[in-house]
Amino acid sequence: MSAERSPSYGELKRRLQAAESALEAIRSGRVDTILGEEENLVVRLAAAEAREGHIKQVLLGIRNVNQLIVTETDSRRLAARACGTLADSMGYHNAWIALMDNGGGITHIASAGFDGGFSEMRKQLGEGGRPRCLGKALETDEPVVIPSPRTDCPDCPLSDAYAGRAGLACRLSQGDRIYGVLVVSVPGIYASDEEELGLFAKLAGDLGFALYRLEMEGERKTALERLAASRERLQLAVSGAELGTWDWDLPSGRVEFNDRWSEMLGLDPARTEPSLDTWKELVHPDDLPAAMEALQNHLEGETGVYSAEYRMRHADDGWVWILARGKVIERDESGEPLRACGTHQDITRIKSARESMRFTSMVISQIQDRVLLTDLQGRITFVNEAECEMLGRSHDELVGRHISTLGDDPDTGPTQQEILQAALEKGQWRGEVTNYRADGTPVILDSRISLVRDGEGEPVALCGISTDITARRRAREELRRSERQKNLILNATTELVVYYNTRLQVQWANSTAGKSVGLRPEELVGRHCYEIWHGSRRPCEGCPVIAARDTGTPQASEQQTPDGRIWSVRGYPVIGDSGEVVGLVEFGMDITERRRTQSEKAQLERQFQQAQRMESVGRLAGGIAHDLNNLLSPILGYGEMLAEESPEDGETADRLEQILGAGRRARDLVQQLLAFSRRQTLEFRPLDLSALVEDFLQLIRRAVREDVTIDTDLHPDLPAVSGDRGQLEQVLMNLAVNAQDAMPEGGTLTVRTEQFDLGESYASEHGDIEPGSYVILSMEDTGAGMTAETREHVFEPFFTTKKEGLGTGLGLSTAYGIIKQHEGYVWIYSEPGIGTTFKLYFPACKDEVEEKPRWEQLDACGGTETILLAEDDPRVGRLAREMLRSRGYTVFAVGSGTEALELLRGFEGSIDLLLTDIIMPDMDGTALYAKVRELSPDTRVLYMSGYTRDVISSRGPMEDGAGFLQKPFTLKTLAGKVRQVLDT
Amino acid sequence: MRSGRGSTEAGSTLYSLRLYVYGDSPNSRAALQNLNRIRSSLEVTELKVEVVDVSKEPGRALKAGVFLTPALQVVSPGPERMVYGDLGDLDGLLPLFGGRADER
Repeated sequence: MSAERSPSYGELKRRLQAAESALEAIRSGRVDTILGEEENLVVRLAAAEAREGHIKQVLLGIRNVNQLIVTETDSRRLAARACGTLADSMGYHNAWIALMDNGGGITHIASAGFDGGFSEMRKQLGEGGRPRCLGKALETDEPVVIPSPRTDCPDCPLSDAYAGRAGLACRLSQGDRIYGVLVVSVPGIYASDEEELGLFAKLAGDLGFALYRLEMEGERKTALERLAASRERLQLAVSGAELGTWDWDLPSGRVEFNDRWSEMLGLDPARTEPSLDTWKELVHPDDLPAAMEALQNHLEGETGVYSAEYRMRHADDGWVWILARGKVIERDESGEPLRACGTHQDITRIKSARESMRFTSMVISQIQDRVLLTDLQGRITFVNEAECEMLGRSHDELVGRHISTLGDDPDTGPTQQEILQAALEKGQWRGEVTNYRADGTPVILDSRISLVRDGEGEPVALCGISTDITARRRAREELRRSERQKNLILNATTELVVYYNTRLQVQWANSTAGKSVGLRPEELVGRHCYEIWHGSRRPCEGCPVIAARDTGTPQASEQQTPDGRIWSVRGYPVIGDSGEVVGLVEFGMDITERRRTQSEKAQLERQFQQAQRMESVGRLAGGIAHDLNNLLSPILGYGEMLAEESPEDGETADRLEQILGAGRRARDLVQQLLAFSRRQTLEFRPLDLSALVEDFLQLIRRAVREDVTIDTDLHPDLPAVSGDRGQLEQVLMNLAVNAQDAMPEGGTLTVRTEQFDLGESYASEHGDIEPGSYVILSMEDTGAGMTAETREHVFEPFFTTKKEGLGTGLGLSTAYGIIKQHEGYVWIYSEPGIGTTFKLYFPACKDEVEEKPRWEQLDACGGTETILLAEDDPRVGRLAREMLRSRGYTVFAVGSGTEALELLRGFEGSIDLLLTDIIMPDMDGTALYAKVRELSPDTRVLYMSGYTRDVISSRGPMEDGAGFLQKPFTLKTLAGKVRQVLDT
Repeated sequence: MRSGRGSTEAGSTLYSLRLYVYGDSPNSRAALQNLNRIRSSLEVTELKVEVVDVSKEPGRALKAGVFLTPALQVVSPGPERMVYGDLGDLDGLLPLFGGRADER
């Protein structure tokens, strides 16, 4: 105001104008602040007017908001529009509301009057920021004043918008439920005005209530909706489940049944009396007491739900099983039931299904097979009693475990996991599995696993049924083992073992049986024995197996198979329990070898016996020969002497010749005998074979039958052959005899000698022969001839084509041996029916053939030497002495070796020759000579003996140059030999 | 050289005004805007305005006898006059500056 002077009119007018302007501005709300504390009228008036105007605006705002409250149905929209209205009213310049949920979280923010300046606050609120005004407002149901937001809340994004105005905040709540916060701004001067605050609080309260009502409304609506939906669902459920429903009003006894309730029992719903009696009358008298009891218990509150199963009569006189469920839904103050309702369900089928299921369950539980169910991952969901028992575990120990914990034995096949996979893929699995009991022992199972599917075909579980085959398996293995053992045993034997049925069909055969026909034993099964081993279509005669079948006792015999083998066959019947034959066992041993060996052995034995006989015969012959020789010596000796002393003609001479002839023949025969028994010492000399043959011919002629003609074709000028006369003579004899035997009806035997030069080619053709000059001696007969086979064996000892007893079988082998000793070769040319030629090749020797031994030419050889004669046989001794003396020798004769030595020791003079028997009782001739040699080294020796060579040679070797004189000897022979020895 | 009476060049009249505002308050802002409108509506009158922020210099307001904001003080030409409010009544205010309503 101006100074003390009184204002002029103009000044007053101006002041009034100013005041009016001020009032007008205030009234119209176009002022921001009222300054100062001046108590002047204008100010007070203005303030009052301003305040009045403000209050009017606030009230306007509130009225508008209330209008909104009445009409608005959505809380968010209410909040938004409320803010808008409040801001528009100019009472509150701006307003914002934050709606919150039960947990204090801001669900919605509405604002107005900020001209876009609210966005920062909105952002902060969205990020969870809580400004002071909000926080304070929430704490109390009284309005909160923030007098100067600019200074009180410098961080507030709205502080600029507030611009000097104060903030008012109040929570919007009803009871304990807070719905949000309302924040407005007012001119600072009104901020603490009670009326202002009161109005604001009312506004907040109205809004709070509105929000509450909206919430309630919302909840109610939701509840109603839910109720409607659930009722609808219930209806659907009821109709879908075909449930009957009952609604019982206890005081009146009236019970409302739905249509289905009646239809379930075959009743007409329209004619169903809605009362409890209706129900009671229909319930089966046996079931009613229990049902009533259950109902009573529930009504009295002992059970929370009423549930009972009972039968009700169906219109067609049958019984229907009903499951009744219900509940008391309304009680009075004293707890007495007023209303109950519930359902009826026809469980007839379910009940029977339940029964059968229970039955099935019981069956499954109790059967001996192990039953186990798992889910698709292999976790056990069910086991029956048998399974528990088998595994030695309880139900609880098994259910929930994974099936692989029952034991995986990698040695015995697929693991549990693998089985699971296979079952899932193929729908089933079958095989052997090993599980382990609780104590660790293994159990072998034959398991069948099936995939279980639900109604839609989706797999839901796996079911395994197992049988314990541990024992069976063990038995099987035991059987297999014993089977194997049996087979080993039966196959080990070299006998064939076959088991037949009564029709002779092979049921089992061992490996030997198979081998016998070159097949595997399995290939024999089913075939008949006669077909297998005899290739026949009919059983064999005399088969011991058949005999065993027919007699019921073991039988044995020898059988021959077509391949020539001989079998020892034994047949045994297998007797069944009822005593009849149920099968047959055959044992067969191949005895072909044995038989052959036996026959060979028999043959050998025979041959041996023969040889032994021959041996003894030979020995006998040797002995006889010796004795004969000794007997012949005097005959021939004296005979010759007599012949010498007698006139050459005349009867005496003739008679003597007869005697000598006979004697000589006797001597030859003895020689033959000796030759035959091969007891001669070998003396190899160059011989003329032609001369030998000629000389020996007469003997041959005598030895051979008369119907055999002997021709000779002898080469006159053969080269010499080194050989032993006696031996070669024997050869001739043997071949001649053989030829004779080949010509039983007579024939011709031709003996030929020739010389032959064997060339390389011939030699090689004929095998083992050296080229060179040979003398061939051949014996040709016109006999039966030999087959090639016979030819091969002809020189074998004991080989003979003659019947037993005729011929030793030794003749030709002896001949062969002699030929070999002479380094010769023999060929046989033969043609059956034509004849045989034996060709003997002897190598020619360079030596000259000896003239007939000088001593044979010396008719009258003699001498004057001194001879010591040792001979144990007195006759022979005397003979020899006489012979020698007749030829001029001085002879001292003794009877033994000892005597000879005695004589020698006492002898003065020299002994020129020791003539001694080889075999003497006290001393051998050779031993004697040895001793004689000691005493008289120059003494020569001549041995004589009637024994054969073998005997002699066994007594000791003879020296070279020692002569040998075979008894019997003639004078000529003796004299000649003596001379010969003395002359060497 | 300008006289206190506020004469301007070429025959226009210069008014010296002082507008009292309270910071950035809505009415104060409106007052500024309206003043500009007035200015543009006047042809021969030139307005020179000094803005005083009462929130910053409350003493000046009181000394000038200003008890409401916004307030427009016509300093010159005299006599001194005071108009309160946001100056929204354009028709009413123009004559104050020698303008006429129809001069718009």
